[in-house]
Amino acid sequence: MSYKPIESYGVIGDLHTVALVGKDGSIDWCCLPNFDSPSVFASILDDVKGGYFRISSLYEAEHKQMYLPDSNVLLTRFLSAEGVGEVVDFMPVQESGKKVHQIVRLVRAVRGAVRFRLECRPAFDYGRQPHRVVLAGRGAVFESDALKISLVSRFPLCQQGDGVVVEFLLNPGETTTFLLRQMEEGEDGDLLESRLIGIDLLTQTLAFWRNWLKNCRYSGRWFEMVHRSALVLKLLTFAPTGAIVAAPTAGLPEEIGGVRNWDYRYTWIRDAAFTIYVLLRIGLTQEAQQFMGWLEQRAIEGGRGAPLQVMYRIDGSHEMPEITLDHLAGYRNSRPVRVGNAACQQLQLDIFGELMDSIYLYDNDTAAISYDFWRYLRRMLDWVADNWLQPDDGIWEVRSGRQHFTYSKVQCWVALDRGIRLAQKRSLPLDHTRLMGERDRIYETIMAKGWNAARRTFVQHFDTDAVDASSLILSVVRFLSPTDPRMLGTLDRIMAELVSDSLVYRYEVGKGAGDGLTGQEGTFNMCTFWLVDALTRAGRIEEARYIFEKMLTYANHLGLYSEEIGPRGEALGNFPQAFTHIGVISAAYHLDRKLGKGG
Amino acid sequence: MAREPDYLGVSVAEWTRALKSENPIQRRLAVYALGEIVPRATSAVGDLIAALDDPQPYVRVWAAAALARIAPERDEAFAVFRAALQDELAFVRSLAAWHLGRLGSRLARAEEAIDHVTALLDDANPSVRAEAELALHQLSGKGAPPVELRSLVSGS
Repeated sequence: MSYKPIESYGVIGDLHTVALVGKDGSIDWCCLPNFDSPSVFASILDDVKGGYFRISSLYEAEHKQMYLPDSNVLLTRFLSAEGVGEVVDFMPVQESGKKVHQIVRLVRAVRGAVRFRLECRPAFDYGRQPHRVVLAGRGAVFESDALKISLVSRFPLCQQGDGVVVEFLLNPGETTTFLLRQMEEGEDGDLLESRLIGIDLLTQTLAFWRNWLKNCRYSGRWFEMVHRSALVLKLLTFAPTGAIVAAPTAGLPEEIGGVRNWDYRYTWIRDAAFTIYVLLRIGLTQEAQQFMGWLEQRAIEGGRGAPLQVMYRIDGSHEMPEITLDHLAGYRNSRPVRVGNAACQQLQLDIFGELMDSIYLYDNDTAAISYDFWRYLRRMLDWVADNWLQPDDGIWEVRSGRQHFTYSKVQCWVALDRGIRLAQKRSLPLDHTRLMGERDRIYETIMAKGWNAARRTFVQHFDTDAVDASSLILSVVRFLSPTDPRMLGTLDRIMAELVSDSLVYRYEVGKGAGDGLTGQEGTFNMCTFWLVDALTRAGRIEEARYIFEKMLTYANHLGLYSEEIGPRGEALGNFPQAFTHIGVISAAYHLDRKLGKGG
Repeated sequence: MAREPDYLGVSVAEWTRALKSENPIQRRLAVYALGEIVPRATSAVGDLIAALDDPQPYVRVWAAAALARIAPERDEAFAVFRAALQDELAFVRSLAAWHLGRLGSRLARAEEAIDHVTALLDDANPSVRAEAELALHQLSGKGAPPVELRSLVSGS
């Protein structure tokens, strides 16, 4: 087997975890039972040792994929001269009761008779843990020390090594169901009747997604892309806590063969402001409320040395030690494959601004925050007022030493500004004089040290003249008017130095503060959507629309985005990425409003 | 030299040997494998006929299905199905109905099969009833629309 392009995958999930399904019908990534659990299938990271679960037509076929309308139920099609076969993949969402994690795969021949081959080769714990295979009357059970999964099949499975295989012929119109499920502790190997269960679960799962999407109020231009992005964000939500993972994968490279291979199966505080913002904008209030509850808990717990940690596990716990999985070859030899994330120990001052911005918005739009929560926030604001002068590791989590990043200082300003506004609006107790003084000091410092008059641009940090795409956000957070000459100068400089064919690099590798690693990276999708936002706000609507529409062509066949785009338009980095889909919604929302009804 | 027919890389001879396994799961796999190979290796027909007498009813059903694919007119296979439709085990009844549905109108005695399967519409087991309903559609030569279409239409 060879590695497929990252963009050739669709994603299904059950609000606890996901599976990536290739256009060839192969599930090449799935962690059970949760997003951040060890993998059961990871051939996307090692096509020999990683494990996969493939169902595909045995005919030479063209492959297509689509989602069933308004859902996260995926249809993979195999079109050939002999016949057309389909696989319907989904993970049932169970809203109450005992949670059973399962992947349902309905296979059928829709034209002509189609021969299929199923191959299921799990590799537990990222391929580190052996397992045994037990064939049973209704399928097979795969048992490792930590996890047991069963595969229900109507057709007799044949054991080959530590996997199972079957080839079967479906007559025109015939459907068969395969059910892969995590078995509970103490559950015996008596496998379930799959056909009835599969069809019932499909009906329930379709109803769940379609009912859920009815909450989305967006009906402007590009609504299909906005709806798909909303469905992706929901898919990346961990139902028990409401936390949203940055992406459901680990180790997918930012450069093919490169070393920037991170684990994104965690929740970044940074993403919170943007997430809450877009969820509220399109009417997904319940998700925003749940996520806000999660954020409140983190704010109350505090962090080590600072009031907040940069990122958390989806259950809210703080530890995610970074290790490299050296036994895995990595996606197209991109190694090391990392799990865990050492960046959680970094100091990134911007998170306080992003958090306060989201809380301010939430308090304004949805529900007033409690006095007890405010007490924690007030303590945090005091900390920001005392510490904003510290250098930090910045939004891009550089590993080459701390700097006075302009973006971090701007977000410290946002933190104090939103705190002051919130206290004023709600008449909450606060040392206004002190915090307003610090807020203004930050502002003047940024204008003095973060602005390069000769180049007419804000710079990445106070000791460089290099630009950084994060400056695009300055008008979005209302630090500057979108038409302020300094903002327009920065916009022009970024377009000249960081934009390539409408796509935006986050910074120029080798200039300013890099991430301390070798090699290159692709253009950063979120930054491209920030550019669209900044242009829209600056009134440069046609440029914004052109870039936005061009950016839409970089989505995959299902409307999914990863974190970055490579030189040939290929998806790079973890996939699908929440931040990028937040960008889609935000840019579409603002651009649509500016264009008005007639545009 | 022509390549010897196989299923999953295993030859007819090896699958035939597996018919003698003490494990009924292996015997079921062997009759299924031979059924997959039989269109290319009619030498296995005799072994499939012998498997119609397997002590396990579900192995007999799979053997009958394999045989019926290449020789739908043979009475031995149909007799196994007819008996299995009245087996005491629900999953055997369900399995037989499923296979009859899969064979569909290719079955020489499809009309007779419809009568037997119709009787299962009142079966106590829901899985058997569902399987029988679907099998009747297929035996009557009717296709079923994609299952999700009903959900999509009813939910809209």
